[in-house]
Amino acid sequence: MRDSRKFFLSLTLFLAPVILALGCLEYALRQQKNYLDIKKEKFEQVAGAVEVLILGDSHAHMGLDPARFDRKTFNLASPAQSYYYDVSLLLKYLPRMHNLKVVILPVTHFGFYYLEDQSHNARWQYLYANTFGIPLRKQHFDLRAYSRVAMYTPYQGLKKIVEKQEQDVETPDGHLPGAAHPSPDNQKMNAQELIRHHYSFIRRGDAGLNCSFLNRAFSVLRKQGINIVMVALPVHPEYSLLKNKKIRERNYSLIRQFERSHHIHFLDLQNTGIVNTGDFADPIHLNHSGALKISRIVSNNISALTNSL
Amino acid sequence: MLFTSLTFLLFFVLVFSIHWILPARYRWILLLVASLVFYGFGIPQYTPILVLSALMNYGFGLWISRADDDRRRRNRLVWGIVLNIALLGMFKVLSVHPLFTVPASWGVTLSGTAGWILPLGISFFTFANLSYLIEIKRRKWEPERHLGYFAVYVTFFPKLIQGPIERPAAFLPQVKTPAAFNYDRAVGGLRLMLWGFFKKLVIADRLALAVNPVFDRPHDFGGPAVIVAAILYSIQIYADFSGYIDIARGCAKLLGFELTKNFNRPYAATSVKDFWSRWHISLSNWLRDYVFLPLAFGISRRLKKERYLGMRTDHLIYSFAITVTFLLCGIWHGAGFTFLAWGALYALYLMTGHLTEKPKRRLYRKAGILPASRLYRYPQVIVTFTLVTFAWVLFRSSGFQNFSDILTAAARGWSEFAASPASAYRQLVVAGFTLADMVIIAATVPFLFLTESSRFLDGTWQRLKTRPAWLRWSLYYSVLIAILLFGKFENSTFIYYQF
Repeated sequence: MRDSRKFFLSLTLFLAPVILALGCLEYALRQQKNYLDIKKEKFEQVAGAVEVLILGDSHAHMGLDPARFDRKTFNLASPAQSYYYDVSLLLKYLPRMHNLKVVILPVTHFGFYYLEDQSHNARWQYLYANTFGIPLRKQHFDLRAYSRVAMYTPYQGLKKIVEKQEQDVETPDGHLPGAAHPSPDNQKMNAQELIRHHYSFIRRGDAGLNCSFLNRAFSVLRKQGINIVMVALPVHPEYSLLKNKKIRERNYSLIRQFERSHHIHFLDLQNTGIVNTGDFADPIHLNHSGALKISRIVSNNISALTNSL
Repeated sequence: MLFTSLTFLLFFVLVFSIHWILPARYRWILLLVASLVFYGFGIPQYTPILVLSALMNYGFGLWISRADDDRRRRNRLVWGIVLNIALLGMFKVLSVHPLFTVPASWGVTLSGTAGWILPLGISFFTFANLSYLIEIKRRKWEPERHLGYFAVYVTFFPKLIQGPIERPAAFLPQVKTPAAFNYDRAVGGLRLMLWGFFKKLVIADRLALAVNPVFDRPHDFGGPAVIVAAILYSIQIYADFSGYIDIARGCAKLLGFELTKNFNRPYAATSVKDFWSRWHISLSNWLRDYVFLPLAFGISRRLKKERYLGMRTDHLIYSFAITVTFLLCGIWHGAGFTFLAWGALYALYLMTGHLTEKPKRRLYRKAGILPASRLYRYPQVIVTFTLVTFAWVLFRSSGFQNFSDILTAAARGWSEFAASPASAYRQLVVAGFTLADMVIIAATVPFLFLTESSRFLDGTWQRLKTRPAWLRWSLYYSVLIAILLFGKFENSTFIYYQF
C-alpha cells in the first residue's frame, strides 16, 4: 500500500507541470481562431440571407467567387473538404437558411473516391469536429475531436501561438482568391506528381459511401424545392490529359444517375476553352482571373435555371 | 486500439486504476474484459474469432492432456495445429486475395488492403496457442483448467496485437498468482513506455516520411535516395517494432506482469544467425523450439550415412531445417510471395553462414584477428547490417515488381549525385521529408543507439536509480518533452500490426 501511494504521489508530481502546461496551451489555442472558425463566423452572420451556397473542396474554394454571382452567395468550400463534410455542413445549416435556392457542388476527378480520413489531411476531420461539432465519419471516441492540443499536437500548437492568429485570406463571402493564396504544396508539384498524389489516397470502393451521403442530402434538398447544381470546374490541360479514362467515365455515369434520381443540373466547364493556361494558380486550381470567368458563367446558368422555374 | 492513441492512454489509466483497487482474485476478470474491449475497439466483428480461438485451444489443451499414450497425444496435437493453422491460413489468404472484400457496411477500409483485413494479432495469438498445445503434448505444462485464466493468457491486451509471443510457463503463473504492487516495477514500466513512445512517435513515424515515398514511388528517386531510404527503413522498423514491445512490456509491468524481452540490440549482431537471436526473440525462439529443432532431430534420426549427394549430413540437415523454418517465418509475416522470398533469402544467408563459418574462422586466426577484437566485430556488424537491410527492402516491397523497381532505382542517378550531392537531399525534401525532419532524425537516432548500446533500459536506468531525483526527473522530462514536441501524432499503425 505504501508502494502504491508513493507511486501515485510521484507520478502526480511528475505529471502536474506537464498537465498544467498542456492546459494553458489548450486555453490559448481555444482563444485563437483557425481558418474554419473564421469561415464559420462569417457564414453564420449571413446564413439566413444566402440564396446560393457553394460547397466543395479547394477547387470550388478558389474557383468560385460569390461576388460575381447575381444572387446572395456564400462559398462554404474548404481545402480537401470531402462530400461527408459538404453534406454534414449543409444539413447542419439548412434549417437556418430560409432563402436558400441553389446548392452548388463541384465534381472533381477524385472527389467521389475521397474520404478525409484516408489522405494526408486526415487530421482535418478533427478540425471539423472541433469547430462545427460535426462527428467523425467513423464515430468513435478520439480526444482529438475535443481538444485542440491533441488535434494540432503540442509542437504545432505552440507554433500556432507564436505565429499568432491565422491570417484571414478569404473574402467576406468565403472565397479564397487563387492568385493571393495559391496552394504551396500543389505549386511544388507538377501535374504528373499531383495526379499521382491524388491517386494515392483514393479508392474505387469509397464511391458508394460518398454517393450515399450525396443521395441523403439531395433527397432533403429536393423535398424543400432547392436546386442542386453539380459543376465540373476546369483544371490545367496538363493535369486533364493525365486523368484516368475509366475514372472519368465512372464519374459521368454517377452524375447521370444523380440527374435521373434527383434531377440535379450538371454543368461541365472542363475543356470548354473558356479559361487558358494563364488562368491557373497551380495544376488544379484557378487563379483570380480564372475564377472571375468561371463564376460569371456559373452565375448566368443559375440565373437562367432559377428564372425558368 | 492503437497504443499511440490518446484513447488508449485514457483506457489504460482506467484499467490500471481499477486493477490495483480490485482484490487480486478478481483481476483476471478485469484483464479479460479490458482485453476484449481493446481488441474490439477497431473492428468489433473480429472479436468472436479471438474468443473462438481461445475456447478452441482451451478445449484442445484438456483433450490432449487426457490422452495417456504419446501417439494419441500427438494425433490430438496434430488436430489442434491443423485447426489453428487453418484459421490463420484462411485469413492470410483472404487478406491478400482481391476477390474478397470486407462488407461495406462495416465501414472499414485500410490503405493498400487488397481483400479482408487480417484480424489483428492473429499470427501472434495463434503461435501463443500452438505453444500452449505443444507444451502440453510434451508434458512440460499441465493444461489450464480455469477458462478465465487461459483466456487472459490468450488475450492479455499489452501482448495481444504484436507480441511478444509468450509461453504458458512464463505467463500463466503470473495470471494465477497476481503480483502485489511494486514501486520499482511500476516505475520501470513507465520508463519503458516512455522510451517506447519516443521510439515510435519521434523516430519511427518521422522516418516513415522519408521511407514511404521512396518505396512507394521508386521511379521518382535516384540511387543515393534509395540507399538512404533503405537504411532508414531498417532503423524505422526497429524503432517501430521495439517501440511497440517497450510500450507493451511497460504496460504489463504496470499491471504487475513481466513479458519476454523481444530485442537485444539487433543491429549490433555480428552475423545473420546472431541477428535472429537478437531480433523478435520470442518468434525466433518459437521457431527454433517448435520447428527447427524437432525437424532437425527428426531428420537426423533417419539419415544414418555421413554424406548425402557429396554433402555432409549435418550440413544437409541444417540446410533443410533452416529453409523450412524460414519459409514458415516468411509466411507467418504474410501470404504474399515477397514474404516467402524474404524467408528464403534468410535461409540462404544462414546456410551460407553455416557452411563458411569454419573457413572464415581459420582465415581470421591466420590473420591474427581475435573474434573478440573490434577488428573482427566491426566489419562483421557492417556486413550483417547490409545483408539485413537488403532483406528489409524485399520485406517492405509491395511485390516483386516494386522490389525490382527499387533495385533499378538504386542503380541509377549516381553520376548526378557525384556532380551535385545535394540532388538526393532535394528529392527527399520534395517528397515531404523536410530539413527539420532531418535535423530531428540526426539528433534522435544516434541518441537511440547510444542509449540502447549502453544498456540504457536495463543497466543505465539501474545505475540512475542511485542518482539524485532531479537528474532522473530531468532525463524523464527531456524524453517526454521530445515526444510532445517532436512526436508525429498521426495515429499511424505499427508496421507489425499487419501480421
